[in-house]
Amino acid sequence: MTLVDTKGGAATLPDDLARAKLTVVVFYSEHCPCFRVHEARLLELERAYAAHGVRMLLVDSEVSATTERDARAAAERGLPAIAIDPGAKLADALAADYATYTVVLDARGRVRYRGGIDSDKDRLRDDTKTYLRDALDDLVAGREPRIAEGKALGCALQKR
Amino acid sequence: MSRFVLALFASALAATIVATATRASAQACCAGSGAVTPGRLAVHEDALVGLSMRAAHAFGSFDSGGHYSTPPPGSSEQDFEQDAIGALRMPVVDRAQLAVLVPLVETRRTARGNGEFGGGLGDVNVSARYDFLYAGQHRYVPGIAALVGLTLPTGTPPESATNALATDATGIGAFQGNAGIAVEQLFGSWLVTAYGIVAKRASRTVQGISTTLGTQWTALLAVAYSLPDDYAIAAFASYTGEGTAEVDGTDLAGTSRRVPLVGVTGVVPLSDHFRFQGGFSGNPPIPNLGKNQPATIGLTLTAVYAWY
Repeated sequence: MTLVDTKGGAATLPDDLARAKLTVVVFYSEHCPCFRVHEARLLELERAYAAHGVRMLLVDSEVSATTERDARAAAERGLPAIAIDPGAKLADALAADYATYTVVLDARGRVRYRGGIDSDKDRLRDDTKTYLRDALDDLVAGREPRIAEGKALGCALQKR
Repeated sequence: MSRFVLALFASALAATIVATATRASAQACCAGSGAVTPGRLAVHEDALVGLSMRAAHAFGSFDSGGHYSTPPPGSSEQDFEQDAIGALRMPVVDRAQLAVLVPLVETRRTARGNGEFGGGLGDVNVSARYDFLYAGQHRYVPGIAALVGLTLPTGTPPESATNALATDATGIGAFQGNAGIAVEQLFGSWLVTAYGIVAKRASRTVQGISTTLGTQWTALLAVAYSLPDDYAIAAFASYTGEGTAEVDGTDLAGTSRRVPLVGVTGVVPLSDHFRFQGGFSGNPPIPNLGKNQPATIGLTLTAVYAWY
């Protein structure tokens, strides 16, 4: 499937997975406070792991998603391009039901981690369990993730 | 007001405001959630414990004809309740949750200038909720949940009360089963919730006479609005009706009841785990809306700690 993003680019899955060592698919919701508070952490992770061949792909699978709306949000909040997932096909394929739900895929399309970004919901704490960061650390180092699935705490995705 | 109705409001309101509180601008961070159980779990919550305190003053009453009147001089009533609340999401069937409410009930009553205070353990309520759909998952299809509950006669029934003014009566003395449906949908920052519940009371024998309280139904509509940082406010209205009681299989005329209730409430989250909920509620003193029921105004405050 091919997802067009807010910068006019396109991601074709699974073919494009081979272009990165790891692809982090994060499901986005325009109005989800849980996602909003995690945006800074996502940007930090993107910066920290880009040099290790990790690519981040924000995906909007909600029925209300439009390129215009998400482009505006991405520009206002400094987010990476957001790919639109018409019909929530990618969300369904990856069993994504909540915003902030994250799937880490390797270059061969295998799911290496799925679940939450961390253990925080709407309020960020310093002692959070950094599920995604830990998984990326392990995978970049060639290890299996110490936690392969973390609980996602975001909003229900309005896919239909 | 019966334990069933109190439990309904405690849960329904908490459910609505908590569900709404988790939506910051237009959608739930934790959409769905809740239960018409004494404690409702938000969608990501695995368990919660809570303590709810309610104080109410009876400022009047409706008689069997629906006429409203204020208490006669020298008569008054204040009702108090403290509920321990627990809820748990089922480990495998995560759309199902169980809840329990253990109440302590006290009454202060004055008649002809003589005051009396009494109370004790009330009727324990256990309940379950199953969410077929969560609110917010579909643009047009609302969240739908099935509700069941059982109230146990753990309180002191009126005939067993020993105080002169029956202030130590804390229960209805019968098992009560209830079933219902909850429907809720998001409209931007608004969450609209509707409940319909029917309760059936078991027969019991008192001094050789078989008695059965009438079937009770309750309809509740709640509208909640989310504010930044998970604060929320809500307003609700409900109407409870109860059929005629039976004595030895014969209808006892004039025993049916009607209970209107309106209120406002809110939630103040102190963290993602700990929140306070509270509000005012009362029975509007409008003739013919109520029947065989005191009219009260009350304040409820609930502290909840949730795990997710």
